Amino acid sequence: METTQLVKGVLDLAVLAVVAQEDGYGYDVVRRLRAAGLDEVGDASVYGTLRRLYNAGALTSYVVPSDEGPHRKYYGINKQGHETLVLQGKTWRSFASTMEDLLTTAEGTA
Amino acid sequence: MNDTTVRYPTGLADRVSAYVREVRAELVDLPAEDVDDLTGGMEADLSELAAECGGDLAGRLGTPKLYAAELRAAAGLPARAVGSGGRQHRPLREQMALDRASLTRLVGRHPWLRSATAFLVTLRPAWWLLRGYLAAWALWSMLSGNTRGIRPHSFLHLVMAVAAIVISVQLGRGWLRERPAMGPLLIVANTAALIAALVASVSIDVTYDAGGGFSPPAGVSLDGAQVGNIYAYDSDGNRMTSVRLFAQDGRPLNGDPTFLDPNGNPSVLDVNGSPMGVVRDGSGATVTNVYPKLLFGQDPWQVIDPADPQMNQGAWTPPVSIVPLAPSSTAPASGTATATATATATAPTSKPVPPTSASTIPTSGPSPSVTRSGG
Repeated sequence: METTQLVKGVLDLAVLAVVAQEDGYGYDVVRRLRAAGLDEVGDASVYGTLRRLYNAGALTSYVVPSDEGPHRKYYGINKQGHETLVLQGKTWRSFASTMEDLLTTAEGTA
Repeated sequence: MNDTTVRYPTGLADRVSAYVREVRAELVDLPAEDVDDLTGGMEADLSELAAECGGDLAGRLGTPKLYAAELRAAAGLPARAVGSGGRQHRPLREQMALDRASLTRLVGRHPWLRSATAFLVTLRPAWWLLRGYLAAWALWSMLSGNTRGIRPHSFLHLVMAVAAIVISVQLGRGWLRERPAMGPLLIVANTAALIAALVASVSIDVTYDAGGGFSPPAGVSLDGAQVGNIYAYDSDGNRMTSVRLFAQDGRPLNGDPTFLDPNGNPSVLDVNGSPMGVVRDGSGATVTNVYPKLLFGQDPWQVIDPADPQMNQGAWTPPVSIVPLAPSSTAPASGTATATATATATAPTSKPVPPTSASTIPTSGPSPSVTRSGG
């Protein structure tokens, strides 16, 4: 199964979960997603998702100046983002458990 | 990979700048605000990445073109149109989608805009109703060539209104959602409905201004003004009391219908507690076409309202007698141009009636019409 397609469907939730642990800038979020096992995630997809979640009011954003070079743009989660995370998390768990049941039944009869 | 190229930071920085510049070029059709939002902090992030992967940004991220396309898709922005340059060359539909997207982002950023939008969204069904009704109104106004009044004037109008409302609500519920080509048409229709709303609001005023012409006063009227009382004189010019008047079709010339309640009983009492403007005939039925009416519990030939003499200042006082008709009295006389002249109260006989005595009510009158009194 194409994991990339699966990741696309849950990228919002994954990004929210990562940022909820700790504020992060774009590439930092990418790295943490990969470290968590989502190897398929594309850099630009994560940046775009951060941007979209911010525009939807789920994330805050602030710029951290850097001595060495260009500034970094950090994202953090806010109240609405937490609510979204909880809600989408429930949806995901219920979906995953439905799939699990379905597969268990199928494998049992196979 | 690129081991031959310089690896010191300045070289990496150049590559990062070049990559970012190319990505920005791919986003040039977006509003500057969006481009800054999407690429802000990108240099810093890509520098870190470049340091990790030895500067091969394209190998790691794909071409700037692909990167920009992925960025757009993930950010929920429309893909770049082929060959499109600046904003002004964009097809209308795409521009609309873009504007809508930037509007959505703007709304998402401000909580009060979010609640205002949510409030407006709940009002949408009301707008669908109004839009449908306005469309029907515009249609029947165009057909009849007159925009006076916003109420349906006929059953056909009612049917049109219902049909238009059904169509409008169905449109609102997403009839055309699968046909995006109809989007601009819908915008035109909405704009037209808004203009119709403006015209309609003006036409409500017109209706009120011209109200007198549309609903004549109840009861008996003369030149559009309500007739409060009728004073009858016989051919000798003497006052007549308790004259019962009927129109050409046998309907009694009833006065103000508010003198009777829906059950035909007297509804207005004068200062003495007597019913105003209403008398009973021999069978006990209430009749209101008897003139002059007893309005204020006193001599009906006295027009002054005792409760409000101010209001009656300058009112006409009926004379005790007027100029008698010429001896051949079948034709209308010319010299008696009083307010009562047009009322067909010419006494059937030329017998003089003393002003104080009650004149006999003509029994040959169309008595069944009494039941119609009170409308």
